[in-house]
Order: sequence, then structure tokens, then C-alpha cells
Amino acid sequence: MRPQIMWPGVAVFALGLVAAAAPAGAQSGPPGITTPKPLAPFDSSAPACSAPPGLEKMLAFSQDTRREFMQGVDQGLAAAAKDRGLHYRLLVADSDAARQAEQVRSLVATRAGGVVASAVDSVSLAPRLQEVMWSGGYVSTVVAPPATSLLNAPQYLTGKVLGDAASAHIKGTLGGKAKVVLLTQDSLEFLAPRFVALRDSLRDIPGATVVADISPNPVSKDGGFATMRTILLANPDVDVVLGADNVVLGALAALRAAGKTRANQFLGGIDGEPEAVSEIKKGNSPYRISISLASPIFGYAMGQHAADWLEGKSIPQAMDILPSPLTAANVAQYEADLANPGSVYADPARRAAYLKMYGNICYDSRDQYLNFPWSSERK
Amino acid sequence: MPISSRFFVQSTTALLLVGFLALLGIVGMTIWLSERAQVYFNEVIAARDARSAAVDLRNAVQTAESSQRGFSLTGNEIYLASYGPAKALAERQLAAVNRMLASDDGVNASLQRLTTIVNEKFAEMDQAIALKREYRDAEALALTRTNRGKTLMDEANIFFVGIISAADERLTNGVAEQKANATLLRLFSIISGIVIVIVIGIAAVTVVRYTRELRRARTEVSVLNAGLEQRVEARTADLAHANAEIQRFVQIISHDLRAPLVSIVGFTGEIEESLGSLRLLVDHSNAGSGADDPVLQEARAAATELLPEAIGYIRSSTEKMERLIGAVLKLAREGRRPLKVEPVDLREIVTDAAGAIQHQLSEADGKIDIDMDVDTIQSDRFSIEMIVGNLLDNAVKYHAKDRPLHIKVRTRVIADDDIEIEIADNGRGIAERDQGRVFDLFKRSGTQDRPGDGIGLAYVLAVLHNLGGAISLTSELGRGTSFRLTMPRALRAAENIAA
Repeated sequence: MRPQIMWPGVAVFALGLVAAAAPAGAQSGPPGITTPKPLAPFDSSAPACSAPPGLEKMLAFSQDTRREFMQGVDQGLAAAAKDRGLHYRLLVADSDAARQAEQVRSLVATRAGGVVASAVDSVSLAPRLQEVMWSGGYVSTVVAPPATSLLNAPQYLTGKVLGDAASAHIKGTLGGKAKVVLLTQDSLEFLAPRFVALRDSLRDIPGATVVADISPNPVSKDGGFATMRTILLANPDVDVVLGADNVVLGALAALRAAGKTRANQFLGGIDGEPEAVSEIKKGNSPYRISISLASPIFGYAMGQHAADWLEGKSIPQAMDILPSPLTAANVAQYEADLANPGSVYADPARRAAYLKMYGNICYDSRDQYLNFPWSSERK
Repeated sequence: MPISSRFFVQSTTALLLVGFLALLGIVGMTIWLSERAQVYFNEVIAARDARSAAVDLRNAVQTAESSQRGFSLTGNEIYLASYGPAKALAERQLAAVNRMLASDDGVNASLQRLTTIVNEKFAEMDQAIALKREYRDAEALALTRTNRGKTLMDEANIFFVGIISAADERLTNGVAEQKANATLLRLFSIISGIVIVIVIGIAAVTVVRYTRELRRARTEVSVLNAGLEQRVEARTADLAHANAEIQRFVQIISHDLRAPLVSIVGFTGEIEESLGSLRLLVDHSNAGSGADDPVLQEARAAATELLPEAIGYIRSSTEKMERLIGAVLKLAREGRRPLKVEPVDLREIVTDAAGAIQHQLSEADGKIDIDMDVDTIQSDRFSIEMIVGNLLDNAVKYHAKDRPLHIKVRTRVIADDDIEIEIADNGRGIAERDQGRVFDLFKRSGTQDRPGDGIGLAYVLAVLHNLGGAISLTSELGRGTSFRLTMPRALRAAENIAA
């Protein structure tokens, strides 16, 4: 089954925040970079250094849950390991932090050359990951530090891509006037930048009126449905609905139930939910776009970086997974890319459309690992 | 193509009608727009009030929320100073919003939900304040962290925005309608103005063309008139010349006829005298031996019977011919006689003429009634006297013997400053078949038991014609005749028609 993304931005960034709040534990190795600082763009021609000695050519993925988004990471990692001749292991914690910590400890014991982790509890997992790094191994995490190479999901950019698409629709199709509904997510503070970005995009359109800026409760399809029904009481004619895919899908259901869908409406979400993608594929649905984070592709890149690390090459210290706007025009190509991430990674131009890399690190400079919640959008 | 008068009137009327309709359209449109403006004005007031109430309600809730948060953070009661008034204001404005929008069925559910939200929001704030006052900070913080207050405020904002947007939309739509109406009026006025300008233009062109054609026609008429006057003058001169020739001819003829007539009369007298000698001769012959001579008998018959009879016929014929020639000469002279225009006392003339026939009237046991509305006129006295005298003579002459004669003379002013003289009698009357020729010369009608040559009425007609007048009659055989004469009240010196 083709992997699908499930709340990638949420999961990715949440881990980072939890890690940032973690207390420092007992150190038996370098702490890494703990003070936030910007990173230069990745230099692919940086000189190579020593290869880590005594490590197994093995890549392991410590997966927090069996979410589709993480399944995509698994797919990408497996493909890269296969392409680079690494032994690949998948260890699923099923939301059990202790179990995950133990699984990573076991990997240290087996001298695994590379570990990729999506933490159930980044605080409790951090010491285990540091042990991997201190042993010379490659560690990459989905957002939460510490990591030799840290993955970041730029929330503001994600929201901006969606907001700009909506703005273009308002200007091009709706004549510059629109009643806009923003379905936010108050329960997760770290997602605030994406909604800031949405508001920033709409601010440039004088005719765009935000008639509702509210967080559905719960943040689910049902919550979106109930909230949209309330909104329709006061504002019967809505032109644009923006938010996470699940709540926007609920809003779409409410609009349909009220007979308020129109051909020129614009509904757009974030996360690349399968149902959202299905709506987009219809071609005649007001659901026009979903912003997706291509987990198989960044998973594949992580696998490649792990292999490079073990060969003594310089790899990025951090990597942005860029938001991909899925529309009826490009969804087929997007799905083809997810199915074959190796071809994307091999093509620099296509790779640059999904990934943006920062900093350089190799075995010899492994003490410069990131140990703070880095973000390319940090001011 | 020339413009006919009918076309001019019809086209001008049609154009005026079009222009009137255009103006009527503008007036109608203006009235309708005024009505729409009044409706819009009422809607604006209603929308503004609802919007204002919604904004005030939102401000009151936000003020209360700020007050509550300040107190929750600091515990300082100062922050709560505005909480109570804000809450009271919110309650009033909530009631106002409900009252103003109650008539709108589409917003009932919204109002119910908004009321619930606002009440819950204040309940949440009241609870937070109460917890703080009881120093239960942890519970107060936990309450805040539920995001319940923010959720309620966000939801309330949905309804505030909804009410404000709806009001703005009504205002915007109203303004758009007013703009559209103004544009419509402007467009209609422009079109109507163009129509009116076109109408005026067409009317002006029509009038100009019509006027030009009138001027051209007038010029042509003037040219024709000038030619006509010249022709009339020429013809008049020709006629005057011909008339003079005729009159000279008549005089010559009359004179030439009268000369042999005088000879005939003279020789007739000589024949008559000779006849006496002849008669003596015959008488002597009868006394002699030739009494039985047939020749002598025949001569005697001629001298005593045939010749006297023939001479009598000759005499009567020559007398009649002389009268006729005299009448012709009289008419001819009348035609040449210059009129003497002067003040004429019509009453005096009628009275004198009546006096002249008084003897005959008495013999006919008659009377004459005179009713004069007009006394003095400017005319030729002699002509008037001849006319009146002839007609009164006729009335007497042809009176009915079986009843007393009754003559009425009446004068009055008629239109165009003419006068009418009516002379009516109850005489024999004139048969209808003769009425058309009694004014012809030498024509007589009815029983010829009175002397006359058929000259009188012809003479009257000729004289009256010289005065620029006319005569008509109405008559019924055995009942009487009425002559009506019309003539100018003031004859100008140049109006000698025959001249």
C-alpha cells in the first residue's frame, strides 16, 4: 500500500517541542550544540573525513507509532538501505516511550551504524540517541533533537504555501472578495506559525474577510463539521475554508449538508490526508489543495545520509522537508515520486523541490550535533 | 419633397409627444428613485443600528475579558472596575441585537447561539474571577488552559462578524443599488436628453424647412400677385376700354337708331296728314258716280281702316323702340356716371321715396312701414334714390288687388361693415321659375297688365353693382316679394365698380 501522510507537521514539530522542554541528563560525551544558531546551507562538496570505525552497516528506524506518515518514512529508509547495501531494521514502539528507549539501547549494543527515530517521548529517548552518536553512529530524528542530522518541518512555510494558493484563487477566481474561514488548532501551540502564515497571506487582499478564526473542538473531521455548521448559522455564504485536512474535510461535509458548496469555492488543507487527496482527484470538488510533507522522500534521504556517514562523507546537519501543494494538476506526479523516492533523490532539481539542507557534519565533527529545537524559520 | 401643412402639424405633434414622454419618463424615474432611496435610507438605519449594537456587544465582551484577565494575572481588583459595567452593557446590547434582528427569520438560530455563547463566556469569566478571589490560582489557571474562554470568544466572534458582515452587505448592496439607480437615472436622462435634442432638432429642421417653404411660397405668391395685379390692371384697363367702346357703341347705335326712328315718326306724321287728304278724296269719290268702283272701295278701306291702323302700329312700335333706346342710353349713361361719394341720409331718401308713392299707396289702400337701424351712410345719393325709388315703384305697381298693400322697408348693419336694405311687399309675388331672370334687361314676369319694359330691376342691379353692392330676392307667388340689398356702409371714392 502506498504510504500516506498523517499529520506530519504536527507529529514532527511536537517531538521537537517536547525535546526542547527536556531537562539535561547525565553526560558521558559531548553535549552537541545546545545554543540556538543559524546553519549555513549544506555544502555538498565539503571534504570527506574519517569513516566511523567498528560499526555495523546497519540502518534502524525507531518508529513511535504505525501512523501512515511514519510508514512513509519507513518506506523511504528501506529503499535507501537497499540501494546502499545497508541492513535495515524497523523497530516500532507503539507509543511506548520506555520500550522505544530500550529498543534504541539495543541498537547501541549491536553497534548499529545508523538510527532514525520518531520519538514517543523525545526527553526520555534523547540520552539513548546520544549514546548512538557518542559511539560514532549516525542519528537522525524527525524534528526532536538531539540528532546528527535533524529533520525540520517549516510550519510557517507550510501555512504560507496554502495561504498563497488561497490568495491566488481569491484574486483570480473570486474577484478579490471572499469570506474566509480559518480552522485553527489551539491545542498545539507550535502549529501557530502556519496560521500566522495563513493570516499573512490573506492580509494582502483587502476584499478577504475572515468571518471565522476558530479552533474546532475536537480537531477532527467531526469537529470541523460541527464548527462549520455553527459558522454557517452566522455566515451562510463562505468562499474559502483553510485548516488541517481533517477539519476542512469536516467543513466540506457541513457545506454539502447545508447545500452551500459552490464551484468557485476554495477549500484547502494541510497534511495530504487520503480523503483530501481523493477529493482533489475528483476535479470538480471545491477541495482544491492539500499541503503534504513527503515522508518517503525525506526517509529515503535520511537513509542515503546514513550510508554516506558510514563512508566518512559530510552530510547535512539539518534538513527541511518542504511542503508540497497537491492539486488536481500535480497529484499524479506527486504519488509517482512517493512510490519511487530514489529517482527523486537522484535528480537534484526534483530533490530540491522536496528537501532543503543546512550545515555540514561528519564523523570527525560529530560533536557538533544539534541539541536544540532547530528551525530554519527561527528568527 | 415639400412639407405639407398636415404633415407639419402631425410631425410636430408626434415630436412634442415623444419629447413629453421622455420628460415624463425622467420625472417617473426620479419619483421611483426617490422611493427607492427612502427604502434604502430605512434599511441603512436598520443595518447601522444592528451593526452598532453588535460592535458594542463585542467591545463589551472584550472589555470584560481584558478586565478578567488582568485580575486573573495580578489579583488586583482595579482591573475589575470595568468588568461590571462591561457585563451590563453586553447584556443590554445582546438584548438590543436580539430585538433588532428578531424579525429576520434567517438569524433566529444565530441569535440563540450567540446568546448562549455570551452567557457561557460571562459564566466562565465569573468563575475565573471567583477562583482568583478565593486564591485558587491553580484551578483558575487550569480553567484558562482549557481554552474554553478562547473558544467561546472565537465562536462569539463568528456571530459578531456575521452580523456586522450582513449589515455591511446590506449597506454595500444598498449603495450599489443607489449607484446603479443613479447610473440608470443618468443613463435614462442622457438618452431622454438625446431623444429630446433629436426631437427638437427634427422639429427645428421641420420648422425651418416648413418656414423656408412658406417663405418660398409667399415669394412665389408675391411674384404671382405682382403679375396678377399687373394682369388685373391690364385686364381692367382692357375692360374699361371695352366698356367705354361698348358705351360709345351703344350711344352711336342708339343715336343712329334714333335718327331713322325720328324720320319714321316724322314721315309717319306726314303719312297721317296725307291720309287726311286721301280720306277727303275718297269721300268725294264716294259722293260721285264712282261709289261702286271696287278700286275706290279698296282705297276707301285703306284710307279709313288699313292705313290708320298701320300708322297706329308704326307709332306704337316707334314709341316702344324709343323707350327702349332711351332705357339703353340711360343704362349706358349710368355706367359712365361718376359716383359722388358723400354722407347720405338713408332715412331721408326712404321717407322721400315713400312720399313720392303716397298717392298710389292711398289708391291701393296701402301703407309703408319704415324700420331704420342705419341712418347715414357714405355713398352716392343719386344711386340710392334710384334704387329705392324703383323698388318702391315696383311694389306699388305690382300690388295684389285683393288686399291692401303693405310695404316694409328695413335697414341694418351686417357683417364686414356692410348694410342691408330690405324692401318687402305683400304684392303678387314672382313665380319661382321667373325669379332667376327678373334682373335681366327687358325681362318681365307675371301678368302683363301694367305698363313696363322690363328695365327697372336691371337698372337697379346695374346701379347697385356700381356701388359695390348685391341684390337678392325671395318671393312667393301670390304672397309677396322681398328684395335684400347689401352695400358698403362707407363707399370709397374709387369703388365705382363699373368704371
